[in-house]
Amino acid sequence: MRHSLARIGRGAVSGGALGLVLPALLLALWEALSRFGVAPPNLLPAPSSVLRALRDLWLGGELWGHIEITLLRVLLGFLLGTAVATVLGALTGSSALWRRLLDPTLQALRSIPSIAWVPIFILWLGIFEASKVTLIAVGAFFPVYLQTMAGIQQVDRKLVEVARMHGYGGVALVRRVLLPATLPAYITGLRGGLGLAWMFVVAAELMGASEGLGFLLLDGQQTGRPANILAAILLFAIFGKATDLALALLGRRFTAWQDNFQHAEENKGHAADQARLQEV
Amino acid sequence: MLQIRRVSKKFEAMAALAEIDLAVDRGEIVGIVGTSGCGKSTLLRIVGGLEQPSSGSVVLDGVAVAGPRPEVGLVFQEPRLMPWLSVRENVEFALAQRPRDQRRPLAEAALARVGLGAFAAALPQQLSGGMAQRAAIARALVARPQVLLLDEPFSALDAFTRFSLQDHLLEIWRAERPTMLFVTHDIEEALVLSDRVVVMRAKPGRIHAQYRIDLPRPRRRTEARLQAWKERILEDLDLAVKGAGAEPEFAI
Repeated sequence: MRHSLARIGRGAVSGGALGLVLPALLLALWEALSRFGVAPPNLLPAPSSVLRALRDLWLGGELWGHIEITLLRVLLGFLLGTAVATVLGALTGSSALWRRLLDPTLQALRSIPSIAWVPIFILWLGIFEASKVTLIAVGAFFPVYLQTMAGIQQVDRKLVEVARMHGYGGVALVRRVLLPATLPAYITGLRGGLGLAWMFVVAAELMGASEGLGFLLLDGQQTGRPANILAAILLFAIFGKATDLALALLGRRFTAWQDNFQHAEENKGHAADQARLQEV
Repeated sequence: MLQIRRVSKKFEAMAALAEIDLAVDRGEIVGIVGTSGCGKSTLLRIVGGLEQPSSGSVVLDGVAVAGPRPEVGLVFQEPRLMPWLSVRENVEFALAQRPRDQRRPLAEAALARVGLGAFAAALPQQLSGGMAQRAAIARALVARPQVLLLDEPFSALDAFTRFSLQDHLLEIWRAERPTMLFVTHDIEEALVLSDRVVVMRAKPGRIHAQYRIDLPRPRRRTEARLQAWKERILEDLDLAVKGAGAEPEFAI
């Protein structure tokens, strides 16, 4: 047991560190190419100048405003899309009638590239926040909708039967069985939805915004400051990863029982050993 | 007393069960054997209230069974534990009608009875197949049902685990005396456990013969009289294939 724990520990550390080797090498190579003038700095500024641009933006006092408005758009769009997707997914997942009624239409809408909605959203909702948030909501909608529907449909009918056998129905059945059984799929959907929300906020902000990280990208291009573009990209990466991680950790809290397969197998062996010892 | 009165069940046009009549005394153990497709599981599900008969009725102490009810517990072929609940919480799952503060001690006592006291906090995925099935038995018994139904409860387990769980079930029965109606395709299992073995045949599902097994417990699996019964029941089931129809001597 101690031996295998040590093996897992070592695996985790070297696995994490191993993943950092390639980016570190690439960064060093990139910095070297820029320093020695191989890469033209007006196209590919060195990592150090990207960090400097980031610092200048921060010291200029405008950076936090850009971050804030982008985060707010992502959050609002994500919440809106998720809310609608959860309700519709729950309906289509739990009732064949609703599924036959709604799902074909939603699947048809899904096949429209979501960016194609931009002109009509701007026409309907104006060029300000409403059209942006709506676009992000559309992006976040589909993964959440699909996973909610699939998650509910895939709930083990046998577990539902156990619940019926013990007198559960209605709200109690949903709360004690359907909800926990659907949660893993739902969290997968939420993470997918959040990823698309980040994608769509860039699209929305590129289409016309006077602030936000997407605006920084566009501004960097129009004013010929590639370091600013890369700085904005870096910020997208950081915040995208951070929010996904937050969601993943929150999900883990609720689905810890799923854990990973290897862990479960080892425990199974361990528990069976204990059982044998007890029986002896 | 549990009475199954002229119960028939049709799926579409197919008759799964035809006019089953069976009365089970309080505290009696009845084992139902039969080849697959003879409707024995369907019969059990009807008694459990999970399915409605097409005609006829199931009556428990004078009250018709219309759906699942706390007096009747059911153990399925698979443990069917909620993977997100600990073993103890899975047992407490059957106690929703009890006051909150009673659930935990009752669940722990039930787990102790099936020898899983040390695993109350474990998750189902950490248990072996036999342990998980014992947890399922604890869940079915924790609310002290008057009738315990078991649908091929040990068929997914290896022979050694199966024997030990059979013994275990008898210990529980000695302590609590629930009426037990179980379905199996293991004739020996039926003979070792039951006061009465009911042989069912298919197309349509019906009771072909019943044998009262008046041997004292514990019974040895190798006992000569059990083997004689086993041969007779095998004949019963083989006759179904050959299509000949002789009346079994021991039929009640």
